[in-house]
Amino acid sequence: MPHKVLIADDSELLRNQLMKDLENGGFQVLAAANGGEGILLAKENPDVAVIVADFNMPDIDGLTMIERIYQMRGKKDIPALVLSTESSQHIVERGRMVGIRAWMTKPFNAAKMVKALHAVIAARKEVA
Amino acid sequence: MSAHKINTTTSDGARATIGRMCVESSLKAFSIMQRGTEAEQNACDVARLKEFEHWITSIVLAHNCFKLTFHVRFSLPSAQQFAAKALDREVSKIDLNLAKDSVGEFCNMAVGHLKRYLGEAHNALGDSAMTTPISKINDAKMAVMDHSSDQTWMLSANGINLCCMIHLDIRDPATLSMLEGVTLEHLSVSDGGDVIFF
Repeated sequence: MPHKVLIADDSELLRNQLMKDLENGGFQVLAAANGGEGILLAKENPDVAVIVADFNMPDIDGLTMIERIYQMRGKKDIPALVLSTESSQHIVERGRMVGIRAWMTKPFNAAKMVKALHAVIAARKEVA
Repeated sequence: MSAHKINTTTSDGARATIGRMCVESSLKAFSIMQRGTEAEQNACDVARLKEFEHWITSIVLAHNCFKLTFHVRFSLPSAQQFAAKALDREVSKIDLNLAKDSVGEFCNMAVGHLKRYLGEAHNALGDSAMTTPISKINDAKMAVMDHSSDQTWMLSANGINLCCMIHLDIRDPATLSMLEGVTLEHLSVSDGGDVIFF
């Protein structure tokens, strides 16, 4: 059974590229066009295994989206990865405080992305 | 094509370095988004190189503040073609919003590479005071500009031009002096997707 990944990125182009790359990497993909949609999809899909969020989105940023998902019952341990051109220390540190498992800088590399997602899912299983 | 205006008081060395960084960053972003074979990407890069050089519109160094304005322009048809290739769709299926999105994302990726170049430049000089060089660079701001109304997109007599503008605002003196001494030959930039695990 493929792992279900929730991606949130306001760029349709990036969403499409991510979907293709992750489907090719063996994931089942749910795609949200903004943070609000991402929260709804997380609510509707109890089996999301991992989250990939853009940092800069027009409604709420990716970290806020993840924070709100983590506040839902049973969602706190879903590993999340933020994808962004931002790499300022204070923003990355905020990501760590929120509890995300990895920060990836754009432009992303598909193979590294798939590897990183498998790594954070495996790390969660080990803890469980 | 945008007017080729270089307004600068910085040295030729720094200007040339930054210019090449912009060009290389754009080419890398272009290649990644077009997702062709390596040979196709290289051919594309060579064809585009001359155009990219004209897109660096303003490099200014004044009062210890380095400001780079880097415009990237696409006509609507070329943006549609660009998006079609990136999305693997028919050009006729690419509407204006998707074309805008693709140019914006291109710019975003170019900024990502440019930041890496500037970070790598510190490492090349081995400046121990600069352990986190990228954090010394104020956030690169990407804006999609409308020259006619200060809003989103520029309309012209020839149709719609999509224009991205990258601002880099660097105030750190060490970064500024570093730019004088580094050439691209000193630098190596990863192919993207560097990951920090927590």
